[in-house]
Amino acid sequence: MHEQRMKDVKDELDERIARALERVPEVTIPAEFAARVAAQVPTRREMAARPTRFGWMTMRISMVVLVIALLAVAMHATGRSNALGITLEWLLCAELAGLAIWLSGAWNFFTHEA
Amino acid sequence: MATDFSFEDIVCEHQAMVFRTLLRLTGTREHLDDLAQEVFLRLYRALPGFRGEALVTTYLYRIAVNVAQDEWKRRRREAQSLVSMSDETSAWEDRLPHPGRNAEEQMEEREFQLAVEEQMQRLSQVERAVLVLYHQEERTYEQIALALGLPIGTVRTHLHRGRRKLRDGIAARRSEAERTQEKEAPCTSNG
Repeated sequence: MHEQRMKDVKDELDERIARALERVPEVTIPAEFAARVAAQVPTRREMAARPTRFGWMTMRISMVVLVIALLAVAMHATGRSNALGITLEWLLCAELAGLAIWLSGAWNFFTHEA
Repeated sequence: MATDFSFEDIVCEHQAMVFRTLLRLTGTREHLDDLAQEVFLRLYRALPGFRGEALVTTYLYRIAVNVAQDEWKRRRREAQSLVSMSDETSAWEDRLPHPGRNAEEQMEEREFQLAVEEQMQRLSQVERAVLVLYHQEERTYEQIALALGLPIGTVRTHLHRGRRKLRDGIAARRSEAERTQEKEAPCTSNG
């Protein structure tokens, strides 16, 4: 009997505590609170990640110059056996190939960024 | 994603929840604006990584709990006594409506609410957070576990332990009040 009474008291107390906890407090939010907070946050700037194309343009111009130089050396060396001319021509060819490889990589970069 | 919405709209939508959670966790209205502002500023810093509304709410709860904990640490550093819920600025229970009650019932209800709030401030921070999120904010165990970064079993344990501490504290307070009344009774009848 006493135990049952104690249990009832405990249950009643638990219920009251739960009700008290569930009671939502009234809050007074200052007017323009949201605007004030929003004004305090730093504005997110778009990242200026537009790449310049000077290097790419230079590469293309250099390739044209190289091709012209190769043709000029080839025309000059026609009918002659000149070691210097051949070496120069190979050097220009290697530079042209290097630029072509670089250009293909740069091209992929620019197309992906766009 | 972060650029698709206005941050002010997010603040508007969640400000009431943040204010009442902070109020319950800290037990005072003092610095409430500043704390709420801190919650939203921390949210803003974390926003770019978010996907979906549910995560924002969950994260807001987590931030609110962290900010409340920081506030408790700050108070401890300032060697302030435990929060008194009876001062003018913090007595939020005074503003609760009690329609259709007589004055005595209202007073008793208010005193009980006050006792609950006082006992809440004696709980550990995590117990208090779990109780507030479960009872006041009506979050599920899973949501609380996610917000606080705890296993569900731990959330249940804290909830159970918190309730038991509240009940024991209030029961002890009641019996003490009864003893005091018994002692004072002869004096008041004579006076």
